[in-house]
Formats: sequence, structure tokens, C-alpha cells
Amino acid sequence: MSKETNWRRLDNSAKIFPIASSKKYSSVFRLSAVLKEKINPVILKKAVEKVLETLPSFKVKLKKGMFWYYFEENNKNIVIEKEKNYPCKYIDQNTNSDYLFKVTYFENKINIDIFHSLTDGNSGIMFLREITYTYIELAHQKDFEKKLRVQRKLSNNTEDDYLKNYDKKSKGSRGGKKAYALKGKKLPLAAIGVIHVNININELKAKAKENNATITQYLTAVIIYSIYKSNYKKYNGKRPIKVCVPVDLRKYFKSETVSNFFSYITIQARMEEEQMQTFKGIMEFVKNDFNKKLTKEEISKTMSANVKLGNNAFIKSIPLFLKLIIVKLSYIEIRKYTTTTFSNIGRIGIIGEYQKYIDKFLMLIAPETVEKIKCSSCSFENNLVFTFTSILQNTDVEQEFCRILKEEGIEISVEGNGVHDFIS
Amino acid sequence: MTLYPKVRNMQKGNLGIKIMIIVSIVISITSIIVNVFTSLKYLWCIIVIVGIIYSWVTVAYSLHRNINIASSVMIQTFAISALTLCIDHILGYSGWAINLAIPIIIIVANTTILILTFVSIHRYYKYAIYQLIIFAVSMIPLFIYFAFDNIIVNPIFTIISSSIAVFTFVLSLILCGRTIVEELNRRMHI
Repeated sequence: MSKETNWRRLDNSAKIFPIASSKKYSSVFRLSAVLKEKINPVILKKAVEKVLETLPSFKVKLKKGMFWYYFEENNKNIVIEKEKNYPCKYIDQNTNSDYLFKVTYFENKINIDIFHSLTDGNSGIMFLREITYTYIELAHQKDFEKKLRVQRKLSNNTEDDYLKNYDKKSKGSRGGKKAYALKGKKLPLAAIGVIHVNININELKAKAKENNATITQYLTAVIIYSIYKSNYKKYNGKRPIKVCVPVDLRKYFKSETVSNFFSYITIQARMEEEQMQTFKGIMEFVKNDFNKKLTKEEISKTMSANVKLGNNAFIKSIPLFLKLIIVKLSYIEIRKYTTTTFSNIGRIGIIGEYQKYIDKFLMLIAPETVEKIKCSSCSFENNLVFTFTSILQNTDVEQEFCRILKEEGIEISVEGNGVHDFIS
Repeated sequence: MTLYPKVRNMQKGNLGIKIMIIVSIVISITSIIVNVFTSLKYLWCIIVIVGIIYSWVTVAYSLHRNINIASSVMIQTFAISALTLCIDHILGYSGWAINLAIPIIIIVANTTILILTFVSIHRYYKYAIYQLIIFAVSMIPLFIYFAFDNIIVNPIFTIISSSIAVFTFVLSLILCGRTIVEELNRRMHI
């Protein structure tokens, strides 16, 4: 952000979120660090303030321009509150000192709800990790005297790496059938049910390896099979079950940006095909589909198609108030092309000295009226936490997911936010 | 250890606001009924309804926290101008709104922005876009005067208000021209 003007443009992905978002479609994800001690809000506030000094790219507010939103420097005091609402709720800038992330705490847990315009999961983890490190240093000053603190390399690069890396000539494949939408009664009063499944990572790895699959592929297959067994069959589904899997583009392109830099692949399971009736069959299909779609070339195609759309001269010149109407209406349709999203943020690496203070990390994505259940996972040490966020009253999919893992011989334990009285 | 708090019903609306909405609807309907059953010479019930709408615009805008004072000046300029025009029309149109009331509103709005600029010149970038809009709106009566006959019959207040608007704008350009250009640059980026 230039010092002279203190503002910056939104990256290509970030542009869409403020236009498409609403109270029902918050575009917010939550990252939590569960420590082994109660959180002190005074120290937490100090820690967040300190981190914002080193990571000013997060110290911004969203402003409306004539054609696009933009970020402007925010010098207001950060608000730290005790958690009292459901996770991943729409962030009202007016009640959050204009910040695009909300820090809350509860018992041993630090939460950061982040509006997706600000950053993606990968940079969000970097932000949470830095807050956690700083909190631990401030809370245990004797153990972390200044000279003993580990110097951490942080990036403040906010470049739009989509523009740097997209292929102008690439032609993206579009279209496809609408996806199967999960059926069932919704929870009342805009409640969000959360179910965390703690999975022993060594057993999970072994099981994935047994199937010649990665953990993401294995869990995607379990999700599809759970949906098929508990919801699709019951409601006589006809459309394909489509799972959207976000992909961190930093793994494919050289990038240090803390802005959004992700794309996605969509696994499309046509359940009428014979092989899809068994878990083994679904597993094989998912592996093949991943191998086909998770290549630099294919990912580049999807990314380039999206960048070209955002870069189109005609679209750019539509005034923002019209974009708001058009995008909101078209998003109602676009969302119908996904049954659920599964985001695996992977292993969260923590410097040795700090590990003993941390119990686990959690990641949650906001469910919405079309994608009624969303899935996410992250791992720390020997534990992978797989999280369901749902607006459905029944927990059939979640229960089926747990049943399959148990049947596969994987040790699990379940905890939630009490919205569903879940039976493990 | 529990990971989440028990969430109380977060969707409870503000009871005060709900009561005020009901009161507004009741007053509007009552005024229509009384107006219809007494005399239809003047549709004064419309003044009541527009007055209520104006109050709601003001309340809704005030409830919106972190509002920029210049944006409030802009909203009030639009809302009061619309209100006076409406009252003038319902009372049989004698032209006092466009000839007198609106120019006075424009003078007040531009003077307020000028004071804001002097008082906090380092925060002028926050007001710049609203001043530009207020300036553009301030020129409308002058445009009407030159473009149409018999609408502005007493132009003195229009000329005064337009002159004040031009003076305020030129002064701001001299004092904060660079800020205006920067603000336009960020607001209009494609």
C-alpha cells in the first residue's frame, strides 16, 4: 500500500466477495488456535495490536469506489470480544471498527473470523500463527525473553499474483450440470451447527496410503460416500454430487503475496454410474479425477478464466451499484453448481518452543443456503481436525462420515458447538 | 473444556425499532383515512407520510455507526430538499421550495463543508467526494434557471447559493486540490 495514498486495489478473487456477500452468504472463514491455558483478553489485544504493526496489510477497511471496492488503511483500535455468536457470521464493519477480520476468544480458544476479500486460508493461517506466537510470548515472558524469541520472516507483499501468472491465451472449460443440493430441514434462527471430528493422523495416513491416495483424496471420497448414503439415496437424488476443493496456487506458482491466491477444482461424482455405488469405486473415481484436474495446466485454465472475467474491460466499466445487482443475482445460480466445499489447509507447522502451549488448530467455513454443509480440515502434531459447518437440523451426513471412518478402523472423537446434540 | 459458548437467540430484533415501525404505519394509515373522510382539497396526508419517511431516512442513517459527517450533510441536503419540494407541491405549488428553501439548504450545506474543511484540513480526503457531489447538486437550480422558463422566478437566492458553492469548491481546490485528485483516483479506479 503506498504511503502517499494509503489504499490498494482488491486482488482478482477479492473483488467478488464484497459484491456477492450478504448476511446469508457471509464469505467468512474462521481459524482458531486452542491453547492449553485460558485466554487472557488483555494480552490477546496487545498481541493482535503488535502483529498488526508487523503485518499492516491486515490493517485495512473496505471502501466503495465508483467501479470497485478498495482497501484503505484503518487506524481504529481493534476490538477483541468474548465469543458469543455462531462462527463465520457476516462481519459488520460498523460494529467491528471497520476491520475485515474479527478476533474473539472463549476459554482456551482464540478465533479469527476473516472476510475472504482480505486474504485466503493460507495467509490467514500465517496471521493466526503470528498472533498465537505473540500471545504466547507476552503471556510467558520469562520463557520468551526478547533474546530467546524466534525471529520470524513475514511477508507484507500484497501484489495481485493472479495478474502476474494468468495465461491470457488459455481457454477455460465452463458449464456442466447443476449439482445435487443437500436436502433437509434448516436450523432455526440462522444457527450454524459445528461438528469437529478429531482424527488420528497416522491411522488416516496409513489408510490413505493403503488406497494409494492422498489424505485430501481419501477424505473427499469419504465425504461423497457419506452424502450418497445418508442424503442422496434418501431423497432420490438425480444430479451429480460435486465437491469443490480449493487449491493454494502458491504451490504451483512462485508467490509471496498475503492477498488471495487460490483457485479450485471440482470433483464431479455421477452417482448413477455403477462403480459409484461402493466406497472403493468412489475412491478410485476421486483419485482419477484429482489426477486429471490437479495439474498446473488445468488449474491455470480455471484461474485464467476467472482472471479474464474480472479483467474484462466491459465488466470493469460497469458501475459498482449495477455490479452489485448483477453479481448477487448471478451468484444465486452459480452456487447451484456445487454440493459442498472441502478445504484442507494441511499441516500447521509451529516452531518447537511454542508447540507445548498449543493443543490444536481448527478451521471452519461458512455454510449457506445452497451449500448447506461445508467441510474443512487442518492438522497439528498427530491430530487432524475435520470440521463440518452446517445449517441443516439433521446430522446424517456427519454421522455417516464418522461411521465410515470407524468402519475403516480409524480412531476418531467428536465435539461440537452444541447446536446439534450429536451422538458420537 | 468446551470449545464453544451457548449462543443466545442472536436474531432478536430491536424492540424499539419494531414499535416505531408500527407507530409510523398506524399514523400514516390514520392520516390517509382522516384526509379522505374530511376534505380532499389538500392531500395533507402525503406531507405526513413524506415527513415520516424523512424521519426514517435520518434515523436509519444515524443508526449506521461510523458515518462520515460530510455524508450526513449530503444525505440531509437531498432529504430536506425533497421534503420541501413535496410540501410545496401539496400546498398548491407557489414555488417557495425551489426559489427560496432549496437555495438556503444549499448555502447551509456548502458552508458546513467549508467549516469542516478548515477545522480538519488533514482529514479533508474523507469529505472530498461528498463535497464534489454537493457541489454538483448545488449547480442544479442554476441550470434549471438558465434552461427552463418560469420555474425559478426569483433567482436571487439561486445565484447567491450557486456563487457560494463555486467559491467553496474553488477554495477547496486551492487548499486541497491534490487530495481531491487522489480521492478521485481511488474512488474511480477501474
